[in-house]
Amino acid sequence: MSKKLLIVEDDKDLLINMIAFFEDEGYDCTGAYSAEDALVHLEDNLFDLAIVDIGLSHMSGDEFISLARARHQHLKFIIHTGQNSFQLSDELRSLEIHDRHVFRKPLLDFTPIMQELALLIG
Amino acid sequence: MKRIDVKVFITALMFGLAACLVVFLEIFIKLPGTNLNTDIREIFVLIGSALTGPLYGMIIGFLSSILEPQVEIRFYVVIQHIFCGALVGYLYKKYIYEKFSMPYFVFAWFLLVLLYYYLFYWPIMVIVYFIFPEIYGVIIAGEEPNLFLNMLSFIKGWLPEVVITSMVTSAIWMALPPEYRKPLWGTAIEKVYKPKISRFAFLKNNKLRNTLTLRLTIVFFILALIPVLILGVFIKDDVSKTILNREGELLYELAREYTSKNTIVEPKTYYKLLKETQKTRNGNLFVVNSKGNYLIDPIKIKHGKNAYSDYPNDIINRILSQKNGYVIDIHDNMCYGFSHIKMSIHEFIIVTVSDKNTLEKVMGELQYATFAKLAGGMFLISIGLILILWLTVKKPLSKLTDVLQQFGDGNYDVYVPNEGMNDEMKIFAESFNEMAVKIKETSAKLHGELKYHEEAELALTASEKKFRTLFENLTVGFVLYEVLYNDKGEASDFRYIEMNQAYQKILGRSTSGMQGFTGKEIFGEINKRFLANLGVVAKTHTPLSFEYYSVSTNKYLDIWLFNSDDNKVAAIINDVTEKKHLNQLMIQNEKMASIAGLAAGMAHEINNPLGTVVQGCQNLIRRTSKEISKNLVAAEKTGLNIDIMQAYFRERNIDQIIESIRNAAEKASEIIKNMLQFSRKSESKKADTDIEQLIEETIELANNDYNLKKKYDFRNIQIDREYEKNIPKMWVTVTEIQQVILNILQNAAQAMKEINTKLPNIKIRVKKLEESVQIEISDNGPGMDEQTSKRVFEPFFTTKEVGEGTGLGMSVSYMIIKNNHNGNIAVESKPGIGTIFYITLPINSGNLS
Repeated sequence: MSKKLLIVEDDKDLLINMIAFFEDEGYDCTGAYSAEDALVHLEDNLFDLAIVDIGLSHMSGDEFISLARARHQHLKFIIHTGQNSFQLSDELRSLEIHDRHVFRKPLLDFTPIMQELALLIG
Repeated sequence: MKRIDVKVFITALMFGLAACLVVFLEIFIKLPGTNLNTDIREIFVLIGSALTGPLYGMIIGFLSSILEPQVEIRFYVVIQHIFCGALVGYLYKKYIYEKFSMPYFVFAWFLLVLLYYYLFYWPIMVIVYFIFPEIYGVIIAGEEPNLFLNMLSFIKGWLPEVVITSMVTSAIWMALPPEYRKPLWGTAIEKVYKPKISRFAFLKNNKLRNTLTLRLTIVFFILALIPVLILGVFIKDDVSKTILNREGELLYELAREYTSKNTIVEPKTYYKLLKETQKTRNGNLFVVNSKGNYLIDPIKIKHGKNAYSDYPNDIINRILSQKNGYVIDIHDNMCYGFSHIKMSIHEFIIVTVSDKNTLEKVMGELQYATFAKLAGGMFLISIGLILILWLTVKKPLSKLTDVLQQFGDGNYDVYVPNEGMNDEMKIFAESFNEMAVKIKETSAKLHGELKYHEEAELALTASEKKFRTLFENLTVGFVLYEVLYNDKGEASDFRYIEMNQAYQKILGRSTSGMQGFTGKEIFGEINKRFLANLGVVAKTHTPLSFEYYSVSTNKYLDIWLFNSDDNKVAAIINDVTEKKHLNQLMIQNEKMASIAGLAAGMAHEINNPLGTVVQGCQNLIRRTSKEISKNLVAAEKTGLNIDIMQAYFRERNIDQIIESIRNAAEKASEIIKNMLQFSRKSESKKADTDIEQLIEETIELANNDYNLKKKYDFRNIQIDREYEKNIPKMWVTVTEIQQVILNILQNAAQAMKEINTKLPNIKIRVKKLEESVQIEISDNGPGMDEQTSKRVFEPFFTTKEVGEGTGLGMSVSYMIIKNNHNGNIAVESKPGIGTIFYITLPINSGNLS
């Protein structure tokens, strides 16, 4: 059974490409345009990992991570952000998210994310 | 000569007429013990001439002798007096009055009187002796004519008169108040009171303290002597007359005895008797008949036949006419008693004669006794007077002197005790005490004021010193100019009056010796705007401030001009070059900060679309490859032969097109990444770093830089290193500093390559400054013009061809050094010579961050 990914990204074009890439890699991908949408998806389904954009409209990515982890203890996270000033907060660090899990846009190649994904969820 | 002074003329006239009157009235005083008469007119001539001067002295001399009783010699006497008047008038002022002191005056005056008497009389005598012998006879009055002896006789004869006249006149001078001793003629001589060095020094000299008393004593004696002498003259005559009369009476008694008691009637017997009597009378008896013929001759004198030939005629006449009685001869100190008896036809007149020697002896004794009593009395009176003077004047004066002395020494608490004082002395003492109190008050007040002024002066000196120090230590330049004008009245130059140390610093040259020189003399040319401003301030007295770029010193100066005094303008000059550069730098910082903000915002927005482009490209490539299993499933489902599709893509270069899209996105992404560095805070990966090692690693990086190697081999460049010892470890982010240095090295290499510098050389110097470490990187490349070097750190500024550089390298370096390390980066460049970058990092930056 393939692993389930939740991709939270408010840029539609980027989301399409990300889903295309990770589906090609054999993951079961669900996309969400906002943190609120993603939370709805989390209500209905179980996910192994979420790739989260930080700079979202309304609820921000890190807020979403806190809420999501509160509901699904096993959920893993990879951060994919365009905010170059972004730093991991202590709260996020306490959720076992490390610098190596943070990827900055634009990524020329998704291979490094793939490698981290493999390490996190196999 | 000045016009005739009426006052002097009248004075002279009065003296002259007085002398004339004395001669006219024949007022003489016979000098005691001599046959000489004092000539009172000489006193008038002497004093009158002395006061009125030579010219008026001649008038006085003339008037005094015009009525000379000896008519024969009147002419000569007049001439003598005219000369003498002139002489006294001249000499008194020149040699006596001006050098006035009591002993000198008395002595000099005596000499003058001597000259007065003798100087002109001798030549007159000589002239008269040789030319007018008969007049000479009158002058010598019966003496044997012998010029030499006569002259001696004159000296001897006149000496007492000279002494007496001199004493009398001296006494008159002394008695006169000083202002009346002053000669009236010629330029008035003012005796200016000159205080001695110590005003009270003379009071301490006790020798001088009794001068007043001594002088007054002498004057009293002299004054007392005059009445004694005058009285003596009268007393002498009185005494003579009295004695002569008494003796005359006795002689008459005697003569009457010889006649009345006579019982002898026989003339012959009587004659014999008389002869006998003459013997007992020591011969002081003779007998004449009514005609004056001797009946019995006088024994003692050599006699003739007749009494008229031996005795004064008037005496004999009186005897013969009176027959009984006595007669005195006051000039000869003789007296005669006489009585007559008639015997028949014979008439005997018996004359008893006084014994001249005895009589004169008695007279002299009596005169002396009387004179001595008189003089003694006068002496006692003057002693009394001196005593009174001593008590009433001298003693209080001494007290006053003592007080004055102490007063002079600054003891203002003394006062003159006025007990035992009266009259003017008391008033004087009281006035002095009153004055002393006032002086004390004034002195206290003055002392206070003096102290105040002294303090004020001290304060002023201190203030002056303070301001001088301030002036010298002022960090801004201060100059005082004198504005110089040309013919048109325009300010054309200035002269240095004063300047301080700071000005010297601004000028960049020594200012010593510049005072007094003009601007043109020193600089040759002066900025017209500066001169115009100087002129405006000097004329309008309105302060003016302006910024000024000095070409000679290459400095920006803030100048504030203000008018200090007439033509003088003071300038406060502030060197703002540094501030101006700093300002420019700040503006640049601001500019870059705003660009950074803009870039950060922009980057975020561009990242997503870029990501899409890049991911899109990757997905396109992936989804047309055979490696993805899903592709094969989709191809089978749609009946697509992937190999044919790939061949078509190759045929149409679609792969390359996709790759080019990806490359373009990649480039854009690179720019964005650089831009983001502006706003990205340092990731705080700072560590204690050995700068030397850091630089060496960077050089190694440059050597191995593939991009660099493509165009030019860094190894061809000669690298010189000058690392100072004792450079402390620096708290920096190694990668960032390396990035900065690498950037500079790359730029240098690139620039040197562009112009193919023959011996490319990069010099790296590290030195420790006061609180920082400076890395200096210089090349011998083409350098930059000022316009370029100013913009080196500006974002997107590049001299490289489009596409070769992002134009962000140096601005990122700038942000790294400035923002992340609190340091400084600057560039210095000259076209054709090279470029130097200075990176300054603060030593304590680690502690701060």
